[in-house]
Amino acid sequence: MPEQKKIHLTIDGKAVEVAPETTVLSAAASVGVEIPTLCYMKGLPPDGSCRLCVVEIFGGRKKGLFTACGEHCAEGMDVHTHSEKVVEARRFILDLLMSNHKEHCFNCPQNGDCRLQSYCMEYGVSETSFVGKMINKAFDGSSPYFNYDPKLCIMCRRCQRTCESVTGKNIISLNGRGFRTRMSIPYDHAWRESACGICGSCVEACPVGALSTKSNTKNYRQWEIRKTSTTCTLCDKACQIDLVTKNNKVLDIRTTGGLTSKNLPCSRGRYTYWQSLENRVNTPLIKNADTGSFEPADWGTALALIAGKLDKKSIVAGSVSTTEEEQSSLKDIARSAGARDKVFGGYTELLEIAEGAKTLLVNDTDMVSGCRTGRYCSYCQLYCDTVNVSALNELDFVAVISPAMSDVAKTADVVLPGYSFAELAGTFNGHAVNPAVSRNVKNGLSELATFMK
Amino acid sequence: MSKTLNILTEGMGLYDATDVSAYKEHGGYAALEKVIAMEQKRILDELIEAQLLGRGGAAYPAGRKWSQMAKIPTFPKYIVCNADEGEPGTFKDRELLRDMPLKVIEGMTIAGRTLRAERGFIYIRGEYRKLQRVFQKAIDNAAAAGCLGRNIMGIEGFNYTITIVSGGGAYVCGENSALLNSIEGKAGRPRIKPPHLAEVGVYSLPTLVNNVESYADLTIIFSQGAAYFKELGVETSGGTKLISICGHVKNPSAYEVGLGKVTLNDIINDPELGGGTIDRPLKFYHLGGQSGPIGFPEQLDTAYDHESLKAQGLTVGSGAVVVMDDSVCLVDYCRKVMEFFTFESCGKCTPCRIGTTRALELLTALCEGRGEEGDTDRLEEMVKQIASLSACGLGQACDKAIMSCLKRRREEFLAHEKGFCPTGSCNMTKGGASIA
Repeated sequence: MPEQKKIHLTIDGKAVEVAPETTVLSAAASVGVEIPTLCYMKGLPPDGSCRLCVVEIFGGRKKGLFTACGEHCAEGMDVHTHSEKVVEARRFILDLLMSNHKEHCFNCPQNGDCRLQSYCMEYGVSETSFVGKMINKAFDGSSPYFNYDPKLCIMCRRCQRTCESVTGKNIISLNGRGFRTRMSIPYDHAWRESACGICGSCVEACPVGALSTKSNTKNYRQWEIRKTSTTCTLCDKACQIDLVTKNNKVLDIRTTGGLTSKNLPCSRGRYTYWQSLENRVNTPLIKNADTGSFEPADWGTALALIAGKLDKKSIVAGSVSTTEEEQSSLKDIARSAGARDKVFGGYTELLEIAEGAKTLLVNDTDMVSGCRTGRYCSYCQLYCDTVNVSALNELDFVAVISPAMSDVAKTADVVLPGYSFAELAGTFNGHAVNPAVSRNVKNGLSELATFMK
Repeated sequence: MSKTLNILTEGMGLYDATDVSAYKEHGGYAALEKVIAMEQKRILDELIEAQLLGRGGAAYPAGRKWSQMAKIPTFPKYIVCNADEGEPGTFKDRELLRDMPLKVIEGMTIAGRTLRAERGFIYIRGEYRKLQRVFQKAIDNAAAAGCLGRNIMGIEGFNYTITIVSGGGAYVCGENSALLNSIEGKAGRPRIKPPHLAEVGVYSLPTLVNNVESYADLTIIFSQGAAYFKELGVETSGGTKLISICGHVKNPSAYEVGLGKVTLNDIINDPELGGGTIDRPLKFYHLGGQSGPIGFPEQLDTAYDHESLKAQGLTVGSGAVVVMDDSVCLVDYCRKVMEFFTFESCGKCTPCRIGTTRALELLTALCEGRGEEGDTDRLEEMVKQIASLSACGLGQACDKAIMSCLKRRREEFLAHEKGFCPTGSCNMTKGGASIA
């Protein structure tokens, strides 16, 4: 291949050499010059709508103010990213944006993590200098997992472009013209009535508080949270996610590496996990044969009961969400009892596996199975709604290790507390599963494995 | 010598505009026949020599635009005619579409032949529904006569079709990239450039966009020669220009004049053209539509061509000349201009979306007696910023009228600051302040 021609320019006095068609913004980033942006999204074509990234260009063919996100570098350009004219222009843009933005930073879910807020601080815009009309569109809290406040929207169109180009759903579009332009869903319906699949990518894209996760409104401030990179175990897509935690509680899920990374979590991955953390199993439970209700038991009794029941005719089954370390423990258990071990993907397969077996041990780590008690189950009906697991009641003995009282756990004779992937350290599908929160309860699986050694 | 010309508009209204044989009798398709015999390089050289500046408003040299386009090796290419004549006060394309549709078709076919494009689109504004029917009839007749379609004029491999696309009513669709989005069925919002339309245009393919009049002018250039065309105008911009005069003049209509051959005074006051204002004296005139600057009586001696007007801070623009007499308040007029931009802003970029509204609010305050000291400076600063920061031509041009007024009639704005309207047409009590 012939060597590509290089373009030479200076950015804030620093000499830069870039390939043709490099934008000024990425050329600046390559030499560590930061240019403020609101609408720019890495990996997507530039939009050029916020105009905050203006830089002043001298030399070369062009002169004057240009947006760094879209302008290609040209030979001999002299780019000034913070000249007096540029700062003045950015202040004007921020002033305009603030003039159509509800100022209630104290109450805003995005407080402390707001791009508009930090740029206003950087450029000394404490309040707008304009008095005039503001957009008047009602707050929409109808979506189960997030809120939309049009009065906070700065029309950067990141949500719209995410919906159009990243997820391909095309639910969000721009409605109206001029000052009345607003981000909306088809026919201006309430969010819940739209075809939105609630993947939540738009919420992550929002640089201000216009789109915010419901848990965000009360539960946390951006500076209080901790982020842990891990792998979503809800299906074999294995999305890389960041678990947002505060005080040992999972509050939100974000995409590792930003919205243009390969695997974007779906509605299940993003919301059902922490919405379904109710109904946890915290102690070993043994079903009272007479009343049919579960009664707390001590670890020794429960483990001995399970160990006594497992034999050659037993099946030890782990869900596909079981990590490799857990799978190894299950194998050890099966080997010491002489039982067969299986992996199941979904409850239908579990029922097939269980056919003909007398006793069954299930490691049901899939948190979604426990979310029946959580809200909005229709978004995760894969495991919880459609499969009738009552056939498991016909077995002689069923033991389930599960983080929550799932449908399968309800059919069990003994239930041991399990860990969710947010609490586990291990491997999954080649990616790392990192513990984001710790749990004060022993893990049923490791306890059983130790017990049966 | 007559001030108005009859070159582009030759034969206008004398025969059925959609009749191909009548058009040929009046010299139609002579240009295309010559173009067919020419090499691409010679055609482009001819066009550069003719000094044809784009007639839509931006006055970009057509020769340069075509040459850039010819260099791009990607095919297919598209030819687009911008007939979204949305500048208020402009109605010269209407005349061409109604009375000379075959000239536009021939011009577009010449472009297709030169740049080896096989498809043309003409984006006609939605309000011209009747003209769309006329134009469609002209296209059908041309196709029947073998001047459009496959193997045009019997030449193997010379294929060209034209499709009419009806505009949806937004002014911003006159901006080239928004126009292409609109053709594609998307919302009419401008695209970010680069990539330029010559590389990534309609359906992401190389596209040439020119105005109706520019295409029609090609028939003169290639039938009579570039030298003849250039003679009609001045050194830096050749040809004739269709202008549309309206407002407080005796003869509001569209006229053809040679560029640089008449002055603004001729255009407004000559009995052959505007015919002067009615009863009241001239106060100002707005050139080139809402996105053009405002001129005043002391500038009337300027010759009407791109360069001379530019020296005076004025433009040819779309060819609109809106004449206003002294019953009109300048600040109120500017308010109306800004109202237009506020209404027509597509809402994509921040300065245009919010800025035009804020500027309108300020102008409204001035017109209602709610003005404050320093508002004029504030307004000037504001529109300057909006124009320099906006993404497309719409926002970038919204300051032209106001800035030209502030330059020459600042005192009228300053009087409004103090709650006084020199013309007396603004209702200064609206905002609660009494007339000074």
